[in-house]
Amino acid sequence: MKLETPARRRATTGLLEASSLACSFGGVRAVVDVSFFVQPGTITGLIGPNGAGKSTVIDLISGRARPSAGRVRFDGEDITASKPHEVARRGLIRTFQKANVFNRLTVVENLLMGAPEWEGERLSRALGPRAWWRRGEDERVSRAFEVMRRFELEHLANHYAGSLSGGQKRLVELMRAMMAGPKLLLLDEPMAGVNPTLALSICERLEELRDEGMTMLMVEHELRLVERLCDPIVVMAHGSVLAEGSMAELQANEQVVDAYLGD
Amino acid sequence: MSQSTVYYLSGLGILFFINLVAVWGLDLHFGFAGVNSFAFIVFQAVGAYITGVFSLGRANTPVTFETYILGVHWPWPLALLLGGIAGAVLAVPVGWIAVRRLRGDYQAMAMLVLALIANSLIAAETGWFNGATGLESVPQPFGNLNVSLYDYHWVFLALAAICGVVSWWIARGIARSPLGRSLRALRESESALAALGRDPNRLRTIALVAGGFLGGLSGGLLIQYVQAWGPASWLYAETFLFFTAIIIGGRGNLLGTALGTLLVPIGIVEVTRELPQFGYPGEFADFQWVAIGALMLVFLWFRPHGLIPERKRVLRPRDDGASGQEAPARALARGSQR
Repeated sequence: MKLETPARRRATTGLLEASSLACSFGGVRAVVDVSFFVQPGTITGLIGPNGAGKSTVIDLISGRARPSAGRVRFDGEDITASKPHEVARRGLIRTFQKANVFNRLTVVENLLMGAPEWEGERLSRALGPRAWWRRGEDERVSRAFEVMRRFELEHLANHYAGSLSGGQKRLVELMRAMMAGPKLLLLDEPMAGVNPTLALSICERLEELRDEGMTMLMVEHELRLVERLCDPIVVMAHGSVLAEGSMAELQANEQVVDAYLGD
Repeated sequence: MSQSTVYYLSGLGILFFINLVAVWGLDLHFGFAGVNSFAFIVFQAVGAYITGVFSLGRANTPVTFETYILGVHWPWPLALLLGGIAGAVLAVPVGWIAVRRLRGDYQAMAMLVLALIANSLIAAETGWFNGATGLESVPQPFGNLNVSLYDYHWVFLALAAICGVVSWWIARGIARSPLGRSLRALRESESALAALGRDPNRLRTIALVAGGFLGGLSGGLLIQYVQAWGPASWLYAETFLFFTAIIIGGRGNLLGTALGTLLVPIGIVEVTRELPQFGYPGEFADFQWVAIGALMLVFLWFRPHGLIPERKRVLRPRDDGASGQEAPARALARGSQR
C-alpha cells in the first residue's frame, strides 16, 4: 500500500527524503504516514486543508518535533530526531508560520544572526580586544548589506526588527535565511498575513532564488502563488499524503478536488 | 568634611562596587541572555562561602564552636578568585536543573525554589558552612597592613574598584561582541536562534557561567569586607534588589545598570540608613522593601526599558567603498529635487 504513493514511484532520490513520518500529540495523530522527496533545484509545495499536518511535517523535518515513526534524510544523511540547531548547521534553514524575528535586534543584526556560527562568537574572543573579531564581523556586515540591497530594504538596516510591519518581518526572515547560504529552505506559509503587493514581491524573490538553483519546500495556502512557484506539489489531508504532481495534474485528480481544491 | 563622613562615603563606594559586580553578573543572565535568574543570590552566597573557607584556616571547633569544610588559609587574592570560580562552576548545575527544560514563568519559579532550598539547606547543615550562624572573623585583604581603620577603607575601595574594572572588562567585552548579539538573540527568540544553527543551551550556559563568576566574585569581596557571612545575608529577597537595580537602570545597558546600582542598593538601602528612624524597630527596613517593590512596579509599568535603555547598535558596511559614497550622492540627488 505504502509503495503505491506517487512520490515513491516518481523519485528515486532527493535532497530531502521524508519516509513514513508519523507523529501524535496527546493521542491526536497529527501526521499518520507521510513520505515525499524534495528534488534539488525545485520549489516543492506542501498544501492541504487546515489541520492536515503540514506545519507538523515542517517541525518534524527541522527537528522541532520528534517523529514517533519514520525517517528524514537530508543531503545523504539521516537527520531524524536531530536537534533544530544541528539540522540548521547541515544547511537546512526554516522560517516560521508566525514571523519569528529578534525584535530588539536591528534588521542588520537579525541578518548577522543568519550567517553561520563562527569563531568570533566565542567567549574567548569576546574577552579580548575588538581586533579579535572585528574583521570577520565587517565581512558579515558587508554581506548583510548586499542582501538587504538586493531586497531593497537597505533603508531599514538599523531599525529594530520589532518595529517593522508583518510583511517586512517576513522579508527579514527570508534575508536572514539567505545569509545562512542554505542548501534547502523550508518556508512555512511565507505569505501569511502579508498584503498582496508585498506577497507578490516575496513571490518574485523566491522565483529568482529558484532560478539561481536554490531548493525550497514551501507550505502555502494562497493557491495562485503555489501554482506559480511550485512544482511538484504535495497535497496532504488528515495527516497523510493524498497526491503529488503539478497543479494541472492535481486539478484533474478528483480526490484532491474533493478534499481541498474544491471550490 | 569630617573624618567620619569620609569614612562613611568611602564605605558607600566599596558597597557600590561590590553590588555593581553582582548587578553586571545578573545583567548577563537576565539583561542579555534573558534567563529569569531569581536564584542569583546563590551565586553570591557560594562565592562568599568559598572565599571564606579558603581564607579562615582550620576550624578550631573546641574553642569557637565553628564547623566548616576545607578550612585552609590561602592568600586572599587566591581565595577571592576561587569565590568567583565557585560561582562560575555553580552555574553549570543550575543551568542543567532549572534552565535546560524550563522557560518563562516556570523557569522563574524553579529558580526561586532553588534559592529557597539552598538557603534552608546551608542553614540546616552545620557541617558545611557552620549552619545558621555562618562564618565570621574572615581575614581581610592586606590585613597585616599597619594603617588606621579610616585609611584601610581606601585600600579596600581600591580593591573593590579593581574588581569593578575586571567585571566591566568581562561584561563590556561580551556586550559589544558577536557573542553578546547571540545572547540578545537568545533573549528575543530561542526558536529562531536554534533554527539558525546556534545551540541555545550552550549560549545560555556561557551567559550563566560568566554571570555566575561575577556573582561569586562579588560574594567573595563582600565577605572580605564585612568579614562575616551567614544564611541571613542571602535570603532569596536580596535577588530582587539586583533585579530592581537592573530594571530601573536599564537592562542590557552597563551604564544604566551602574546607575541602577547607585540608586537602589546604595541610594535606597544604604543611604536611607542615615535617615531618622520611626515606628517599631525594623519598621523602617520594611518600608525600604515596600519602596523598592513599588519603584520596580512603577518602572515596569511606565518605563520598562529603564532610565538608560539598551543602546541600539548601529552598523554600517566598513570596507565597502561604494556604499560609503552612495550616501552623499543620494543626499545630493534629494537636494536637487527640492
